[in-house]
Amino acid sequence: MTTDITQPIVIIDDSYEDVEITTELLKGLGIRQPVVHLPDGRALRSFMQNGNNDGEKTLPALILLDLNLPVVHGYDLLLEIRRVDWLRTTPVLIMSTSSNPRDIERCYAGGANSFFTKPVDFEKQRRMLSVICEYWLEYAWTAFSANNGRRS
Amino acid sequence: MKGTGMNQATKMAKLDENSVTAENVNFSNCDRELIQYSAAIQPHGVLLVLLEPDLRVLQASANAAAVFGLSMENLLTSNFEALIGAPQMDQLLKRLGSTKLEGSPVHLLRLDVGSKQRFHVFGHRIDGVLILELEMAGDAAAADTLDIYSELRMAISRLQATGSLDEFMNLAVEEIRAFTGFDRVMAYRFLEDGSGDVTAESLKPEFEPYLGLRYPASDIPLPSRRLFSLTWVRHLPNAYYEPIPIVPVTNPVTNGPLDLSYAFTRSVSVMYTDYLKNMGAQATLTITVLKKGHLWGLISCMNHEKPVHVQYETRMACEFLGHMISLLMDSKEESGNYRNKLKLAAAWDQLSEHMAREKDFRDGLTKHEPTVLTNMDAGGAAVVAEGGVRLLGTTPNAEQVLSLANWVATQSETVFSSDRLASLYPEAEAFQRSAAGVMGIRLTHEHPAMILWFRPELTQTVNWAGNPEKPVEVSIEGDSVRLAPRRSFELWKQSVSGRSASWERWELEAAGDLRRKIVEVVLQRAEEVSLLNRQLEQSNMELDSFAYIAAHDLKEPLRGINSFSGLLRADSALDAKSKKHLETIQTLTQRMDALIDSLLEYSKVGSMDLQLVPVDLNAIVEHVVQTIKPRLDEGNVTLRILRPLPMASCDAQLVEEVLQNLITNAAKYNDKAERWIEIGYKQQNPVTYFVRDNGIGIDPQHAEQVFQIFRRLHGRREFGGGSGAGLTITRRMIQRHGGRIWFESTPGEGSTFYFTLGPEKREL
Repeated sequence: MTTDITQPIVIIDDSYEDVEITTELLKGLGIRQPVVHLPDGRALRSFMQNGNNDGEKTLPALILLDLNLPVVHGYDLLLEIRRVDWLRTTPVLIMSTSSNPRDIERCYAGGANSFFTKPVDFEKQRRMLSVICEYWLEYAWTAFSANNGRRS
Repeated sequence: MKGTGMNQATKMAKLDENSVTAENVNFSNCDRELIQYSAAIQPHGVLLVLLEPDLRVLQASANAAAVFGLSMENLLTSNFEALIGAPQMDQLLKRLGSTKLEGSPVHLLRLDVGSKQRFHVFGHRIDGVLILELEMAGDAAAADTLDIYSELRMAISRLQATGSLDEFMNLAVEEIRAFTGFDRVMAYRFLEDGSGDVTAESLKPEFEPYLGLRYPASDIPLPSRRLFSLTWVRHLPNAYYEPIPIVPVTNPVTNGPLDLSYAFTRSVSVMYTDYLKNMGAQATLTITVLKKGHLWGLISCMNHEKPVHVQYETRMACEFLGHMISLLMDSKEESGNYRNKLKLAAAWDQLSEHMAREKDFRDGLTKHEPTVLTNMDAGGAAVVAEGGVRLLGTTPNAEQVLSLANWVATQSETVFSSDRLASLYPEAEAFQRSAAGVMGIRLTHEHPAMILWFRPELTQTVNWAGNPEKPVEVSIEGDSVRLAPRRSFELWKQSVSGRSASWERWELEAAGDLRRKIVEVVLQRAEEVSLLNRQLEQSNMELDSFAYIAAHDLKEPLRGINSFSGLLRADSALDAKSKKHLETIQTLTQRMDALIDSLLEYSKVGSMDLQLVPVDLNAIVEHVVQTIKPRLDEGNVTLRILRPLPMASCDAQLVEEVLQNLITNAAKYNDKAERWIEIGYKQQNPVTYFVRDNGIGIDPQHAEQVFQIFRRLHGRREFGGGSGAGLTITRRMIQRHGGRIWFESTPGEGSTFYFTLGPEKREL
């Protein structure tokens, strides 16, 4: 395990249903980290400034970012995240319904670590999340985990 | 002195200045006549040459002695005052002192000589002497001035009321005949080559009409025509007059011959009087008609039955009429042209409406009334564009018109015209009966798109008044050659070839107007097309963003339905039947997901930029085969490439999808044990590719349905299913290349799908 159990998984998505399912799936996959749901850019900005509800800026293990968001587009939020010091190196995974090549290209250029199209199929979703968690939470080094020497 | 001899002499002077006659005449033969030259006048006048300031008589016409009741010797030593008395002399001197008298004679006063003789006195100065011409005045002279004025005024208002130049000229000759009482009054128009024709005529019924006859240029030679532009009215009261000599012959001041250039009573050329006599005319009066300051022609009056001396007052009225006719004619012609132009302009307006309605503007110009030929004075017309020809009326054949159009296109003018086409374009000789003259407007610069109008060869004949080649007859009298005007004025028909009626300026202008109208319509159409294109682009963009939104927004709830069904299925509290239903819900959402993907794909094909590069289709086919090899193997499908495919300029990715779709379909819709697919092409323009199979075939009545989106001809579980969008997307990919796709099929035996990757060559 490269991540700390206290590091939250931040989901930025305006669809409460999607977030609910993701949360359920994560639970089913045995992931115990807290899930923080930020439904829009305003919530994200508040999070970036103040951290979580308790006011503590606990570094997220993963940020799952939807692109098609109200008011501010996910891509612009990606750029904002990358400009915030304490989140600069946090893995940001784009979770989009679109597979628009232009979006894919610019998100990678803007500092995204992965780009996924959300599958409609429940089983596919489950498998995808499973792979993501295994990869990012189990195997991959992040800047934070490397610096904090966490490796089980 | 014999009159005829002197006339001959006068004639020579005229011949010299006129340069008339056949070249074979040796003028030195006429020396005898030159020696006998002396000045003379016509008998309706009396001429005195006076020396100022005391007005001593230097020379006088032979008839002056009788008028003044003196012997010639006494007359020639007299002072003019002695002849007319002091009161009239005072009047004359006053006029002389206040009038410029260089050039044309000026009317100075009315003179009474004795109790019975009244004269109009005209004077002019030349070579240091004063020449007075006394013209006998009729009894009624002067008294009718007011009548003349009111008659003139009415005549002019009637002339003003006419609508066209023809009408105007017909009335003008009518009015002048009524006014002067001549037997015949003609409007004689000078043509470009100096010949002239009679365009209007009024005559007593017993005389033969000259209307429409043409007279050769030599009948009124250039110097005479020039003279006509200088003096408005010339009058010969009697062609059979006996000339009155001037005595003495030599001007005592200059010691030379008296210069009578300006004297209006001067004796005229015998050529002229003979000409008139041969024509049967005894008296003439000609009025000059100018158009925009240039000599247009004459109003020519003739008396056949008897001589007539037209009084000064009437002549002045004629002069005034000449001015008025000259002024009015211009505007009559213009208003006539203007009306014609208006008529054409109305036709052009209707034409451009037709054009705007017809898809092919050539149809708009030729299919409905009015056409380009309506209201145009032409025998035929042609519309040439995009390699095609539409013919109207009498024209050369299509091939001839096309080559002519190509030639006209090389001319610099946008409005081209010629009334003798064959002289510029020799090929036109072959069709000059229908098109001796042509007018053309060029619509574009790139390729010959134009409208042509054709005029047939002119009436074929010109009716000359006598043989125009022989206006002069040459006879030999002893050792001298005598020239005389022709005696015969019988109709002489000459055929004219290769010429049409000439194109008037207003017609060229009207053609230019049409050209502008057409260009406007064409431009407007181009604008409409580009507007449509923009709207289409806009709606494509909207469709694409719709597809994008649909993909996102439709998929989100779909994902929810699927996912929550999945969550529910994992709930152990549910029975097996309920779980089965949940599974069905998930299957349905998956199908909907596939449909949405197809829509997305379809819209993507429409909006993506094509990368047209040379593509090796063999490599593409090979790649497709590799991709779907498992499926081919599984279905026991043999794939044959009949011969190597050519290189094609296309978007490799799209064409790969096209081939993959077609090959997959060919493999899929097949129920034979031995399945095969053939790939080949036909070397046509453009190259036509095909994918053939021995599959189940397609009923031809479903020819269009197979290409419709989400339209399936088979059950979902037959032939491996599918979204029903494959051929729709395939067709769109091909259409993006400008190509098309179609098929031939025999149900039960197989299908062949054909497609092209470029636009078809347009048919001419």
